[in-house]
Formats: sequence, C-alpha cells, structure tokens
Amino acid sequence: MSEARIGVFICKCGGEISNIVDLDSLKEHVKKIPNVVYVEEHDFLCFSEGQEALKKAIREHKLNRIVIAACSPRLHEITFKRILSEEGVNPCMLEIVSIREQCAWPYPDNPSKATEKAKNMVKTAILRVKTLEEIGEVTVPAKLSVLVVGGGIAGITAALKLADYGFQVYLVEKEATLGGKGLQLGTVFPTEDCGVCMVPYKLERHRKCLFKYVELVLTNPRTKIFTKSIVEHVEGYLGNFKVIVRKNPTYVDFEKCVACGVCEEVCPIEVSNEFDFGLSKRKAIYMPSPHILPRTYIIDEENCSKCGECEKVCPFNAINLNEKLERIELNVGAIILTTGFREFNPKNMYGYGIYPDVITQLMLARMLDLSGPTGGRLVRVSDGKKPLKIVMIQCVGSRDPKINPYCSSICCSIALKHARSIKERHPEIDVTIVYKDIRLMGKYDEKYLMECERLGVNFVKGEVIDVKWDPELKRFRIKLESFSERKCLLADLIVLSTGFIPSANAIELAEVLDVSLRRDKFFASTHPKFAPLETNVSGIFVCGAAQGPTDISETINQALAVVSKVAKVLGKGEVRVRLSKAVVNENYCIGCRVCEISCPFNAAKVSVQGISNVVEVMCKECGICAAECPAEAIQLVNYRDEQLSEIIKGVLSS
Amino acid sequence: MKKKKLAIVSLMSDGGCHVAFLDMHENILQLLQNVELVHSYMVLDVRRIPDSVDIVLVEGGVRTSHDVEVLKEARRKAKILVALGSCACFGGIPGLSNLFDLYSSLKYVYEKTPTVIKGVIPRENVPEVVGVSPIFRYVKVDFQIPGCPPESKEIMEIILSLAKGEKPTLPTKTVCDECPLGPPRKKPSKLRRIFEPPKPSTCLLEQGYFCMGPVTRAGCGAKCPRAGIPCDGCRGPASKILDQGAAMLNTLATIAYNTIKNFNLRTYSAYFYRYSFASSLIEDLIRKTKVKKK
Repeated sequence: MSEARIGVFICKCGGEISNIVDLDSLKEHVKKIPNVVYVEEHDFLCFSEGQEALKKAIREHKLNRIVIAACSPRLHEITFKRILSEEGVNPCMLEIVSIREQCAWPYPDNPSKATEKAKNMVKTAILRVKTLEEIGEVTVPAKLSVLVVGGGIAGITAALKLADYGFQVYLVEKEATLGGKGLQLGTVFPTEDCGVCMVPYKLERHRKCLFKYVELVLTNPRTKIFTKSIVEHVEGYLGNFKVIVRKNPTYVDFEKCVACGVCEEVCPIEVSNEFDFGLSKRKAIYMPSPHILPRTYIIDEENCSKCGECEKVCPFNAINLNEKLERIELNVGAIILTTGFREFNPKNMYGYGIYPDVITQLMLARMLDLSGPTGGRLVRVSDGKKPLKIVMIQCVGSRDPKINPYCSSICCSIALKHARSIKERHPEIDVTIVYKDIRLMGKYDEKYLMECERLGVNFVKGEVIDVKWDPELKRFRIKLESFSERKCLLADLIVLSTGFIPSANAIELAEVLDVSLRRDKFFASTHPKFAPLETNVSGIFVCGAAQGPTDISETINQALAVVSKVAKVLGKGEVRVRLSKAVVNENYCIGCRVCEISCPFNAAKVSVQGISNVVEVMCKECGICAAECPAEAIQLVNYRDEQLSEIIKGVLSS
Repeated sequence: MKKKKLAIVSLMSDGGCHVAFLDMHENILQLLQNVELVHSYMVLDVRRIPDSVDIVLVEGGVRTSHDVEVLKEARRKAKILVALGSCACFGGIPGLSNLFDLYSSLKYVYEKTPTVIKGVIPRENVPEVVGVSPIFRYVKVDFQIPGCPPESKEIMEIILSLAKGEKPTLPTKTVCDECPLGPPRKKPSKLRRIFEPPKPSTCLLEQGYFCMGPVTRAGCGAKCPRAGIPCDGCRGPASKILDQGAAMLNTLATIAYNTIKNFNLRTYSAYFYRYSFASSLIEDLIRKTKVKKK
C-alpha cells in the first residue's frame, strides 16, 4: 500500500458550522498532523460546486484517503462515497466527522468549546483513516429455487408467480390441503366473490377461481408441493439455504385419488367437522369442503383407527396406511414466509364457549357460505331456528392492552360484509353492530358502510359489559355502555368479531430460521416503511398475514412485491457481498469454539483442523465473535483492535 | 566470533527463573560456546553488573526502590534487556498484593502472619517499598520470556538466537492449541473446584474448572491440563490479548454465563489475574477507586 495522502475537507454548511466553530484554527491544527497533504474549506460540500472542488482536489493532489468534516454521515455519506469511487479511490477510505451535529449545534453559546471538540474529532478521524483497509466484494453463486412456507393465498400467489419467472418453487403446507383461510370465507370483499373464487386476475375479464388458481400451482412443473409438512431445520445464507422438511404421512396419495368417495362410505368413525366449526359431521377419512385442492380425501390421524377398510375398497390404490414420516432435504436460494394468521380464540369472553349461540365471524362465514354446512341458511346453532336479532360485537381480543394491543384491521370490514349479506338475504332480521370505532382500511370498504346504513343495519358505539342468557325470553341480554349511558340489547345470535393472531407454528418457525418476531408475535420486518417485507435474515422474506392481519387484496399485493424482491436478488444467479466481515487470523486461532457458540448467525464454524472460519456471506458484522475470542484471533475488518486504539489515542491526545 | 556477554540480574524474585536457566543441564555447555556468563549471583561471585553487557536477563518484578535502581543500572549497561519469567513480564503472583494497600500488606506480612510472634514492620536501613509492577513500567524491555518458571529449552533457544543477532519469536497461539483434551464440546453445567477429581480426556473448561488455557500463551506443551490440573495462566496473555483476565471472563461469559453471572470480580481476581494482575487494565482502576475512597 502506498503512503497515505490524506485530504481534509471542511464544510461551512453556509454558516451553520463556520459561525460557531473557528475554522481557521481548526485548519491550522489539522495541517500539523503528519500525512495530511491538503486541507480545504467550502461553503457547501454537498452542492455540485463543492463536489467538483472535492473531485478536483483528489485529482490534483493524488489523495488516497479523505476526511470530511461536515454534517452527519447519515445525510451525505452515499454522495461522498460515490465521488470517491468516481475518482478511483476506494470508497472505504472515507471518514466523515459530524462537526455540525456534534460540535456546532450542541455548543451555540460556547464557540471555543465547539472548536476544541472539532479539533479533537477531526484529529481522531485522521488517525483512523490512516489505518483503514480496502474492502472488496465477492460474488457467490445463488440457487434459482425458492421455498414458500405456507399454502394460503399469499403462498400460492408467490409460488405461481415465481414459477412463471422460471424459479423452481417448493411449497410447504402444514395442512393436507392448500388454500388456507380463503377456503372458509364464503364471500370475500371488495368484490363479493365466492371465497374460493379470487378477484379478477390481471387482464382476464372473467373471475379467476382459487380452485383454478391452486390447480395451476399443482400442475405447474416448476412447483413442488409438500402437504402436511413442516420446516424442521435451516442453515446457510442468501442464495444457498439448506432446508430440511419433515413430511408427515398423508396416507392418501393426492396424485392417484380421484375423490370418488368410496372410502368415506365404508369408514366406521364419525366426528364433528372442525372446518365448519362443528356445524356438521364428518368421517375419519373425509373431504373438508368440495372445493379443496389438491382434490383428495384426507385421513384424520387422531381419530383414524387404521381398520384398513378404506384401503381395501379404494379402486385406485391411492390409500396406504403404512406410509412413514419422511425427511426431505432442499437447496433453495431464498425463503418466503406466508404462514398467515388464525382467529383469536375468545374463550369465556361474552359467553363464547358457554352458549352455542355465541359464534365468531368465521363461523358465520361458514354459515353464509352457499356450499357450507347449512347451505347458506342462517340458523341458531342451539335449536336450528332462524335468528331474528343478531348482534355483532367488534374488537374482541384486539385493541385491548391486556390481550392484543393492536388493531386487527380487517374485522370491521368482515362484520360489515356479513351484515350486508344478511340484510340483503333476510331484510326482516335485525342486525346491530356494537363497535368502538369503525376502522375501514381497504379502498372500497367505505361502500360497505354506506350500503349497510341504507339497508338499515344498526350501529351502536359502546362497550359491552355483560352477556346473559335470559331463559324466559329465550334470548341474550347484552348490557352495554354507550356515551356513559347504560343500554340493553336483546339478541338471538351473538357474533364476535375476533381479532387475528399469528399462525400456531410461527414462533417455532422463527426459532428454526433465526427470524425475529415483533412483540405481537407476527414476523418483524427490518424497516416498517422502506423494507416492509424483509426479515432480519437476508434471503428470508415475509408477506401476507404472517406480518400482520391483512385482507386478500393487500396480501396479493405483498406476495407480488416479494416475488419481485426475490427475482431481483436471485435473478442474476449470483449474490454480491461486501467483505467488511470478521476475519480469522490462523496464527492465533486455537479452535476453542467460543465464536461458534456466540455467533447469532451461525457464520463462524471451527474446521476439522481446529481453525475457525467465518463464512463471509453469512457474517453480518455484528462483532460479537471479535469481542468474545479469547485469543483475539477474530477481528472485524476496519474495527480491528489496532484501529480502535488509534481512535482512543486520538480522543485522548488533546 | 567474539562471545556475547550474558548477565542475569535478580530483582524481587525467589530465584526460580534463575534455577530454570541452570536447569538446561548439559545444554548449558552448548550455550556457553556462544555466550559468556559474566554476572549471576547463583553461580558467579561478581557483585556488580559489569559495565558493558550484550544480553541482560532480568528476573523478578519491581517491589522496592532498590529494585528500581538495579533495574535502571542494568538497562544502562545492557544492549539487549530481556524480562525473564512472569514476575518480570507481568508482575507475577506478588502482583496480587496490589489488590491491597501497601500498609496493610506490610502489616500482614510482618505482624499478622501466623508464624510471626511479636513482629514489627522494619523501618530502618530498608529500601522504600513500592507497589509491585512489571519491569516494563520503568525501562524499555526488548524481549519477554514468560512462564513461572520459564521453560529451560525456550530460554536457551531465545538466548542463542539473540546471541546470533536474530529476532526470536514466541508462540502466538494459546495453551488450548497444544492441549490434547480438545475444545469444549458443550457448556459447563456447574462450577468445579480444583480438589474435585476431573474426568480423564475431557476438556477441563467443559467440566466446569476455570482453566485459563484459552487466553494463556502456548509454549509449555499444556503440561498442567495434560495432568488434569486446570491451566492457571502462568505464561501470561498471548501476544494479541490486552488483558488476560478480561479475555478469560469474556470467554466464560459466552460459554458459562449462568455460572459466572453473580461473580464479584474482586473475589475471583486471583483466578483470572494470578500472574498478570500488576500489568492488567483493571489494576489501575482498583488503585484509583481506592484513592477516591480515602
């Protein structure tokens, strides 16, 4: 490395700095420091004239290390780095001293103190810039395959689009069928399609059915589907993840099954159907809904007695009750988490779980579904009669600091959608919505509110205090407080608009993947605005309701956004990584494995020879191993002990 | 070729390093072909250090003002000054007395030790006692031979290469590198004291002993861990380590956090700084807080 030629550039910031800090004495001070060959001050370094001056000075004085004393590096670091690389200087050879935020602004009444501090900080930066090392980049080949965890609407959309782009997609779903919550919904807003039919898709004018949508995934040669499977272990990094998927036995081969239903007839076991929330009965081998895909019968392991009757009668030999658990190893370049949400269980709230006529919105959706257990008839669960007064209670289990402090954001729209379709079908039924605030997040949701008001849905703002069954009236008595006034409502059927919580496996999955969760246990993104779909592990993305309750249109938006992100990252077939990483000095390493134990990203591994090795692509420059290493063999590039002690020397020197 | 002159100067020391030097047995003959021993209180009757010496080995740290005088004289007369043994390099075990103030140390040694009857602190015709410190605090040291005692073979090799005008090297790695018991495979579940017999061929750190192996300079061949005794860190920190005890605590914080989280560092300083307390970063801190308390 040639001798360091340091140029120091001081910005006046149009007086913001120069009115307080004495720049002349700062310049005198800086000139005395060895290796400083050029010092210049400028009105605005960030303006184009300032940038030109910087370029000119670098060219004329052959500067190879630059110190800029100006505003915070957060503001213009990128600009200055760009100038350096344009002039052929490695952009790492730059130190920015924030003499505006840290010297001028804090001491407006004490210019001598501000100048003193500026001198000290600039000297420290000069000492440090001398020790900086060049940082290169490395290109790592990336696998052109993607793992999608979760086969709901988000997962299917992402998988299908990625397959269109030419990626090999592996879709892992913990249930036996794809479709997620969408299958249970009946109709969905804003277009009131049938739940299994999705919104108009791109340029095609006719409605696209989820049924067909899933079929596309099933038939696409680039998608491989693992049902009843769980991601068990993940290691690796962006571009090269190694995933182990545990595939539980399904017993029915969905590729052979034609859903003839012979097996269901002979099955001796009958239980209540949880898909319809117990509104109907089913066998141990069953089809939850005629619309499921893959269109296959499912064996419920818990209740199946393995009598073997179905195996005998199946005309296509699709059933194999001796199927064993399998572990499959996959190599993928990126992972998309679309694990979705589930309904909050409002047990013992407002009589739920005590009275059968207190139900949730999702149960109501099953009831209103024309292909549902009641064929679209609205009934009271207890006696099968038609309810005449329905009360919906909003914000059950959300916006409550004791349970879930967040707003589940889609329950208001769901309640309005249901209220409207009840009123449209049965105008004689009295529907009341008890709400805290009506919060409509979607673009088209306001329409629902107007429709509901026109159709005569009652809205009561207030909080429900108590729900009691009145045996004389054979109705519920709902006590509520509205504008500090006590009211009482009567109801035949109570519908709770429950909030939504993360899918049951989300926490487990987060541990497997080392992905962080928010306080509400949904997957956390690195930045709520600028990187809403990226997790803390690069190469692992999240979309749909796995990052918070969202409606279907938003979910599809996010899935498409993630697809473009993945395509951007993996599309070239290689990943570029900056090498500002922890490095191991083999002369000092003793293979004690402390780095291996302490590394939160599993980047440090001790080899067979007893020498630690930090995988550059996985290293996130956190510096934990460098601090923990007992033999000081691991050092963070540009934060080596020698470099840090230069800073300390600089700070203590004056 | 003219033989190089070698002197061994003794400061606060029990002479163990001197004995380690003589412990080379017949190898000393080979050494004497290259160097000439001009001053050594154990084998020669030369009272003062001769005027011009090529290599001076200084054994022991500084404890009294007399030590300081001798040390400065040695530096004046030496071309190469080598610190021999851990007391000279890092202050050694006596350095732990810096945990207490001078008066209470003197009072304990001369008045309270169980073997002393009616003892008094000597005050006449004795040099002034100062805090224990390694010799690099007073003079420039050209080379260090750590160890308590240092390895005889290492002493010989280093003197020979110095005599030839080469720059000798010390191992850069730590004891774990030479230890056959291997790296810890799992985190220790409980703390063990040295009198509890260890399991054979299992890392002592993994078993819960405070083995200083990870942070102590290699070169001894991991004698102690091989014999089932945890390393006590006599060869001081390896070249890159700033502070031996802090590095060890750092290691333990990673692999045995639950065991050490309630530690009072003062109580355990003898574990982590047995030989290097006088040259540690924390010594300054303790001294300063002591002054403040007064």
